[in-house]
Amino acid sequence: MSILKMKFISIVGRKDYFDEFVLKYVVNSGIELADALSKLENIKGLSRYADEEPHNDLVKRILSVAEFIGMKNINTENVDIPSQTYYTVLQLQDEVSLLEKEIRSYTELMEKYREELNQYFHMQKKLELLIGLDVDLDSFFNFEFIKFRFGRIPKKSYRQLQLYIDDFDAIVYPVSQDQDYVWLIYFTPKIYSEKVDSIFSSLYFERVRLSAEFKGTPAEALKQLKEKLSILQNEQKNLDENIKIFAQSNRERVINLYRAAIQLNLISEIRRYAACTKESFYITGWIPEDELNKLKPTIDSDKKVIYILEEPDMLKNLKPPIELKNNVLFKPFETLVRMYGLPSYNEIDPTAFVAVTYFLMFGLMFGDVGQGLVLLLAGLFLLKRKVSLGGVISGAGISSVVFGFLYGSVFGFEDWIDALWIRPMENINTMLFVAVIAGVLLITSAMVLNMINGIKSRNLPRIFFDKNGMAGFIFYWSTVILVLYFYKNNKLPFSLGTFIIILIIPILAMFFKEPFENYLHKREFIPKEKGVFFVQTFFELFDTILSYLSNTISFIRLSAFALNHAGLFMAIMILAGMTKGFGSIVEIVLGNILIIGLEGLIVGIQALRLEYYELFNRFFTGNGRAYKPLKRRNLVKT
Amino acid sequence: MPFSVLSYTAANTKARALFGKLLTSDDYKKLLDKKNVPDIASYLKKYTSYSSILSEINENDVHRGELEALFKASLYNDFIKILHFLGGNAAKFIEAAFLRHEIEDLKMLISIIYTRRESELMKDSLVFLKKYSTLDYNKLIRSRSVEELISNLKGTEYYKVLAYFTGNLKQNSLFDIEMALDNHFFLSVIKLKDKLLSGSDRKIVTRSFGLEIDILNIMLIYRCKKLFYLPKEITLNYVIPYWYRLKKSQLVRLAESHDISEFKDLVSQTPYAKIFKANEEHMWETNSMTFMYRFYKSILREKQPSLGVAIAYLHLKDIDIRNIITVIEGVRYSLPTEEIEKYLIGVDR
Repeated sequence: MSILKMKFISIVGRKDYFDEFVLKYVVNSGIELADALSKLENIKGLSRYADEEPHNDLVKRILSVAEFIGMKNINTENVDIPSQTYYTVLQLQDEVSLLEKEIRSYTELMEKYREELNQYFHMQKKLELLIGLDVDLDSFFNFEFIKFRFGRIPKKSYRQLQLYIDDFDAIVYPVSQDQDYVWLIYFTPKIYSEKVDSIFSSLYFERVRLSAEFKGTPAEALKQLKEKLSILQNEQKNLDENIKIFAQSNRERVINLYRAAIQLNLISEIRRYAACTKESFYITGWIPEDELNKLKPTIDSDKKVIYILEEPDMLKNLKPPIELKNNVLFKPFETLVRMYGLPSYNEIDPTAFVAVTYFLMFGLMFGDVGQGLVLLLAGLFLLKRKVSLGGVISGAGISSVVFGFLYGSVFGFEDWIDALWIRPMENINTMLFVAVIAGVLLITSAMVLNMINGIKSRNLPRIFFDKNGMAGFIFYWSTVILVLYFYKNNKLPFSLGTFIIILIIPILAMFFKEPFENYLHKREFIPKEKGVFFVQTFFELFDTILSYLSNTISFIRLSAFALNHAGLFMAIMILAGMTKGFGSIVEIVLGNILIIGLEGLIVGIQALRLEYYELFNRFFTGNGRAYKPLKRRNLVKT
Repeated sequence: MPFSVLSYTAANTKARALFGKLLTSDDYKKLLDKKNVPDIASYLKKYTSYSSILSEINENDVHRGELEALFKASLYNDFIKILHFLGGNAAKFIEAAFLRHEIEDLKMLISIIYTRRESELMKDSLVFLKKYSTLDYNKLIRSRSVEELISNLKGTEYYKVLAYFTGNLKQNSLFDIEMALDNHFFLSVIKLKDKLLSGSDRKIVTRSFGLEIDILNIMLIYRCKKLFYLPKEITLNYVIPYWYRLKKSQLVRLAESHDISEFKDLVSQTPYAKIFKANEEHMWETNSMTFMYRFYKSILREKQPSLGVAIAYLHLKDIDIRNIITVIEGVRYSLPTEEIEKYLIGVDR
């Protein structure tokens, strides 16, 4: 219903108290900071805080620690933590380093176990190959004339090896593969072994010596290997347990650290707006009145700071931010306003107007009890999913139900209930007439709003001379009355003289709007070349008068879509009539879905178009700046 | 991907516009007439698109490292500009392909550490590592030895490539390390292109990298044979295991060749005969660059919007920068103009 009243607050305090104060009061307050230095530029000895980088790297490090202990969404973890311990940057860094060190030792162990397990796995594969041999491993690798080697080479090397494998002095037998390596055995006559070994070493061959670890025949070795494997797996389990314990016991600490780091970031962010002298700090910003009332008692009792409040209209070059405030019913329609732009501080909040008019226009165009209910449910579903348009869609649904009763239409059937008011298809002319009248009323209300905005911003030309001000209002309404009268009685209601006075005076007023503004601002009366001014203004006026007509006619779409809606369903009924039984029901259901989806969308857009183009344009600039208080800021900046 | 054509149209328009700003043959002629480096710098500053990046320098007191760093920065800026016009997989691929410069810097850094030729000047030219890479430059630059550098690369993709060398460093390891890094780069790009790209994009990228790998492999085999007399197996272990218009058998035969004349005979039967004209070995590198230059230009002329245009432009810009550096070097050492001109890529003579 309104735009929140804002006050401009300036706070001064001792410099050494800055961090504590900011954390206590400012960080989660409704203040939107403004650059202190530009506000207080006439004060000597004031300077910016020395450039201070936010500690994003620290936040990142803490986040990766958090990830390790399984807190992916640390910023949403709602843990009731004992009160904040206040950290300095150095303390934080030390704490984080300690944690990181511990984590590193865990990950290195994990890595080691993984590597060893992998190796054992491939050894196992190899031993399974040799299982039939009843030879001691030691002697197997130390034959006199043939050399055996077991090990791994990178996959890339294996591809290079393929280039000359056909006439190579060794037999290569791949055993198994993992992600990066091929494990293989090669054997070669002793006389070539030196050459072959050196070629393999240039393929990055890494030899794995089985005999170093295992004794006996392959079968015995396999047994030993399995024992080792189980020991290793046990160790791995223990490690996992330890990591779990580590994670459990450090949860709170990490959350604390994270919050502290975020706070440090906040402080440094706030510093960028603040100013300071040798011994004191200055913060300035906008604050809504109710937020101020929350903050006041605490600041008042704080002896270390003083603050000054100023009204927006006392500040020449600072514009307050805009926060819309509406009750539950109208709130959803703020979305539509925001899509266009926010009002200026001294304009009316158009949300209520939009809510009522959109409701009416949508219903007029899309009146159906059943389909409206479907839209309502869809809107509620979207609201649950936090989609901002959900509210608007539910509103549209309700209005559709209301008009459905007025039109007597349920899921397109016109014969289930009686129309409380009118059946569009049977009274086409009435419908068209109603639509145009609605248009006239809506355009008029937009003009009234424009004049109110003019009064609020004390803008005389906007009130009286504007095409959406008094001049336009008189002209428009006299024309409307004239047309209606002529339509009824086939003659003009008043003599030519009166006609001239009533129509020409407003036209002249619009014509001289710009010169009048110039006069008010002590500029030259007619600034540009006279001829250019006259021609341009003349055509603009011509355009204005034409657009009164076209904008009014534009509202005919209100009834056109209502007819369209009924017509479309007739087509579907005809289609459904061609099939028998179940098929026709399916067709009616599908047709309804089509109408709800397609027409609902079109009608929604048309109503929005009327809203923006025919109405908003008349009274609303939409160049306000959204209010972004500190407490609503996204805390994680990585 | 219905949007691909749209997005490429934008990226291509951008790339073509940028291409129009590269130096012309005429520019090079004028540069070659200059007597010293300050004059060259001031010409570039006054009359070419490099003026914006050179605006900060004092042309009377400028050295090569500084200039090179600025040029690289300008290449990087173009890359970012093009990246903004691409989305999704195409952007991912271009980013991966651009890692080439990170790898070049890494190779340079390793050779600085390996040969213990510590010099600030050389470190100055590691622009990509310093400014644009995700690698921790400060940590790397402090490495006292190659092993330490490798352990400082832990947690990056390069660690896997180089881990083997820890404890296995030998006399000729520097060459091995460089080859391993190149191998890694090209193989991962080849793998990525098949994963990320499809249709005409994949075709053109395959062609671009295929030609490059073929030429690199031929040069590499030549070096192995001529400088180190390596047997075929070891030679083939350096080769990037991918072949495009070169046949696998040709590659193996090249590696088997017993002397240089046999090598040259074999090369003359490959599609790349033009590059490796027998009598001008010292020009082979320049010829191969010219060959690629023509290929990139031909992509730029194609009507079909594709990722190739962006890639081609970045290569052409790279060549442009290389040419400027060549001119600067030549003028500094007072080589005759014709001599410098021989080494310029894609300049009409």
